[in-house]
Amino acid sequence: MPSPNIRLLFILVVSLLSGCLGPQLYHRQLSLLNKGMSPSITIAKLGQEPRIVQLVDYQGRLFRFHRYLLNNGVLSDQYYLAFEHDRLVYWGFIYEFRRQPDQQLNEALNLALIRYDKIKK
Amino acid sequence: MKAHPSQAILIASLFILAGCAPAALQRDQIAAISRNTKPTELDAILGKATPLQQLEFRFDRGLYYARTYNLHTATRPDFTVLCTPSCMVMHIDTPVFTDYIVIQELPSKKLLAWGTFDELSKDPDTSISTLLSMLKEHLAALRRR
Repeated sequence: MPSPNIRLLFILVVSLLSGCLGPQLYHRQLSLLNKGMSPSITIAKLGQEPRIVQLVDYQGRLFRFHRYLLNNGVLSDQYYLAFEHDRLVYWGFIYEFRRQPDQQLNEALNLALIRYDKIKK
Repeated sequence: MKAHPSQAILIASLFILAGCAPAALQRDQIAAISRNTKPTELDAILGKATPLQQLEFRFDRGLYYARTYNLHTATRPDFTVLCTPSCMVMHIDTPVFTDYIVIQELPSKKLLAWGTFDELSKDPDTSISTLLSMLKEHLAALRRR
């Protein structure tokens, strides 16, 4: 088992590194969200702009995705807010989108993720 | 390894302070709740946890009873430096909580919904997500009083 000083050093390094990630959401903030909120209201409630905004047209439905990072303790995960007709329809981790009942929304998120990967490259 | 006396005092103080905190809900308790849980069974399951807030509220001609709890979700390792006068690094396990809510219909006390605010706010059943939006306003008003 590492000594307390080594563990403290590890925690400090992780804290410093997580500071480099920029603004992140925290779990407590998620309870501020309600279905039907407009994009601007969600930004005001969360107190930060999304890292990326993506518009995806899927089978005649236009979705708007706001991408955030959500702090999960030591790590951060991608977290998405999905809007349709300027109203918040769903929000969650990618795996949560996968199991929600609207499959077109799920497919639209897939397109958003593919496009995001292309932007990164 | 033998604990330093000051370390023992600090740990004892933390235990005493922890005794003052409201009892949190545990995951094994919520795992025992289901759609068919009767009101008396529900009270027995939740029995050992202390509600943070409880209220009755009206929405769309219905009357509801809501209770909020701290749900113990994890334990986070924390460190603190204690100097008496020589300094040492102490490891403390800090519990992590999230808000949890249980809603019943009145007067029947039939269980309607249970989950975190986040889970229920995005529930596919619009009647639940709409109810949550209203309930959050009521709870915020209660906190402001």
